Amino acid sequence: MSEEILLKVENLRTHFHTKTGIVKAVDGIDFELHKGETLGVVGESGSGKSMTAWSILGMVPKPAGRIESGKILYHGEDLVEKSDDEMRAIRGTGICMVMQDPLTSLNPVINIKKQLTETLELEYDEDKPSLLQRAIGLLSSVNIPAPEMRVTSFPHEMSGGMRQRVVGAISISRSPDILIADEPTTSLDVTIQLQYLKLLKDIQEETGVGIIFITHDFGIVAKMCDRVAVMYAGHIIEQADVVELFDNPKHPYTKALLKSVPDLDDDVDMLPTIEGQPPDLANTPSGCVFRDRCPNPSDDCKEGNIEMAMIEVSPGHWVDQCCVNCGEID
Amino acid sequence: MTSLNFEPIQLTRGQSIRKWIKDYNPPWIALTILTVLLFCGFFANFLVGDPMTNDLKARQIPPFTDWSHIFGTDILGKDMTARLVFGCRSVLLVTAPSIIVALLIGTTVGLLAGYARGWVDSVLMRITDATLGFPSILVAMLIVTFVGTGYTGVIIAVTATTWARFARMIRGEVLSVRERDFVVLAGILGVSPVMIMWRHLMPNVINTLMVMISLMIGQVILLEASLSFLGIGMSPGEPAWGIMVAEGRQQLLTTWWVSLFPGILITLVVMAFNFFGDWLRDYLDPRLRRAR
Amino acid sequence: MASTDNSLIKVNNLKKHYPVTKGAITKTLVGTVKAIDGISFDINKGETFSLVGESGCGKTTTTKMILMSEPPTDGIVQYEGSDMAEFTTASRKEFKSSVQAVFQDPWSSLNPKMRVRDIIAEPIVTHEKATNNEIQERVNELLGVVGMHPFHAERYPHEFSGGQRQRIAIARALSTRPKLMVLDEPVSALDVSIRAQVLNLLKELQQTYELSYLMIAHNLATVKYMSHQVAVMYLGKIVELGNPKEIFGDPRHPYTRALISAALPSHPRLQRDELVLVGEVPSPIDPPSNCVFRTRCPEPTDDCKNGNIEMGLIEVSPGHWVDQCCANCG
Repeated sequence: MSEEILLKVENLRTHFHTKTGIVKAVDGIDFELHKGETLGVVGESGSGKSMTAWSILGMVPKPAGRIESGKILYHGEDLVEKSDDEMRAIRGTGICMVMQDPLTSLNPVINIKKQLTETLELEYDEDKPSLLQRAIGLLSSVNIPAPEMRVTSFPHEMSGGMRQRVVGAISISRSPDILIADEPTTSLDVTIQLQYLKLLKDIQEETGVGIIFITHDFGIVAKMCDRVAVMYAGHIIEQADVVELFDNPKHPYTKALLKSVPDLDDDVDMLPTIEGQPPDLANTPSGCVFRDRCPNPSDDCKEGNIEMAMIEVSPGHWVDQCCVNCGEID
Repeated sequence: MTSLNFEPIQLTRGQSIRKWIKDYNPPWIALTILTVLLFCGFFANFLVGDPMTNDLKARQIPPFTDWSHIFGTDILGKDMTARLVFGCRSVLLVTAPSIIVALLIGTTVGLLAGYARGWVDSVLMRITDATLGFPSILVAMLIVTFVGTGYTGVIIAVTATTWARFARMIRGEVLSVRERDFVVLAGILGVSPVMIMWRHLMPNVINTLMVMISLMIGQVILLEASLSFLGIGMSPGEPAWGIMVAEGRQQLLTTWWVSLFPGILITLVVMAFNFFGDWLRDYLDPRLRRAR
Repeated sequence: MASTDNSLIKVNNLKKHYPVTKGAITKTLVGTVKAIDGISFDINKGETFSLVGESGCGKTTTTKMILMSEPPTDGIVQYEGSDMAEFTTASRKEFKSSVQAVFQDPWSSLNPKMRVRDIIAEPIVTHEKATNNEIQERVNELLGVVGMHPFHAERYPHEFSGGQRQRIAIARALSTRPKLMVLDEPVSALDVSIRAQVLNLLKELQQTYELSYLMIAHNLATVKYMSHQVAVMYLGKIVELGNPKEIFGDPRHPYTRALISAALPSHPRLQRDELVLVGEVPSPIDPPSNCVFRTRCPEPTDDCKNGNIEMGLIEVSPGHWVDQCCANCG
């Protein structure tokens, strides 16, 4: 992992203006993504993790959704300022979305060669044979054996694992430097999920691409990520290196989430749970968003006097200042 | 579980009606047209005089020239205003029964075919397809030839050509609803097929059905007008808009108003039903409802 | 197989084969899908029996036959000692009221047009003669049991979150006081912090009402947390069967080991050795004869490769059964 910063998000706020009020889907988050790094963005549904991804990709549903403030710096340029056309170009070549279901995202009636060269054509102004060479090169870079022969086959002639690799090849065909994976493995069998995660890691090692992994599964975080940002109600409430986060979680929400997941290597009789539900984003409490579920909120916090802001508790480990001393949920 | 542990805020009736209007923005123009249609249809005999009386002294009076005949008179001196208002009634008299009967047949066929599948489905759907495949005017002409013109003939003809569309649509909806888990669970539970259709399938296709009805009413009015225009619908002289258009056709250049006004009314009413149907589709969409 | 008197459901040599036909008018048989091919197990009273395996291994088909929504091709399912195939109308009705199911997707499993009260009361109305007051009382009681409030009864499903909807689904399943509940991925559609709540609820209900569960889940940690018995299925056969401690602590079948190795780690330092099987699951249309696993086995014996070894479970330690062919494959 290098120190080169690929993407820097500063104080991003993405809000939705609906009939029932303003939904603060993302409400002031900061993070960085380094070259060759995998950042996990973890949170439950409605925490704003997906909307973070859409904001970076410039695909916030309009007109209801709007980036209210903040910067998304990519190669020194602010993506928030970009027009739709400029963003479309960046989405193709710089920042790519990884398909939700790698097994069904290939067109069944077109052969692999066509599907690959179609994307390559957009990037390289070359004749057919050299595009074909590039396609073959891509297939071999994702470890498909005998790529010269495979390139003419149709998706149904390939095994599931092969198809995944082809999808992987397409997603890196225009050599992006950032891949965004939004819950890409939720519907998959464990063995296929493992293959897919390995493929993403292989691609990363090969190309140094930075990956933002949007997930609610701490297992995937433990498996894949270098850094983790935990999101709750539109805020990042804790951010740290993955080992540090698992070893020393500081925020009560992180602590409770980590404990409430059953563990294959451990025996427990009853899982600890977090009572209650995340707040309604159209009506978030002022001050600390977690205080309704907090085990030990201070008086100031309860009255909504403490603003949300991250403090660094140890190098590279940031926690929301309000809850850093709130203890644990029983 | 704490987030829903409060009782809903009670709004007063006035507040809730205003909120409803603000949230759903009903199609005012369409609703006004439809209200006027219903009102005229129900109270035609109180509103205007007899639409069938010929007054040969007052023939072909142009519209807006004589206050006792605002919309003029036709070639036999029948008052256009009365005929137009009574036309609303014949629209209702034809549309309502034929839609209801077509709906009953179509829904039953669609539910049965979609839920039973197998050979029941095949047989019912082949019959439906055959019905859909015939040009509806042709079918209607055949039926009217056998049954005779007038209300009954038109209603039978219209029903016979529209039920199949309901059946097709309902079957399609049922096929998708029946795959949902709550239907599967009801089956596991041992709920009888009739109850599954009634309690689980029917309520979940009713939204589409409502929209379909409002769109089909427009079609039915057009079909009825076409039949009348062709002279195989209502008996000649009846105050039906289609017949009026046909009657005016001969003197289109001189007594243009005889055809024009009923033509405009047909267009307005059909469009109003379509607008209303579109709005209804949005209103009944559960995703929009959830945002309430 | 070891059978105890404590069993609620006994499954003996159950088979479900689907014919594969060709031609629209004159149908010719071209093969047989062996969705389930001779499985036997017992579900004990008050215990959780879990089926694990990849999609297409026959888990769902098994539950369908136990729920009597599909008849078996061959084999016997006994409920409290009586053969389900020989149920009278009365005993069939009684069975239907004592076996209930909870499915994965709480958005699809509740009729959106029915009030919660009617949803929960449907099994009661179907199977019993109860007055409106009795029904109302039962519904309120059931809502309390699953941690909800009586005033929720008047609402419609769309007013609830996923976790609450799953609680409603559980309340409905409980309403006829069943003895067996089929849980098909009961928590995988829920948010992480809600999963533990629902799993704990299911555990508590099991203890309170001596319920038996037949569970399908692809998350092995969840399976381990919930189960008393686990069966690993592969291509329509049970390849390993035992209590979760044995299965996950001392897996004997190479397929079980592969599944476990694909499970996500609970901590970034605890990465598992990845055991990736060669090849793909063979087509269930005319699967390999005898040992179905031999096409992917890392160390098949010569006898096995030639298809000379019949499949059959042997007991390797008390209560831990493994397919005899692969018991010693590495």
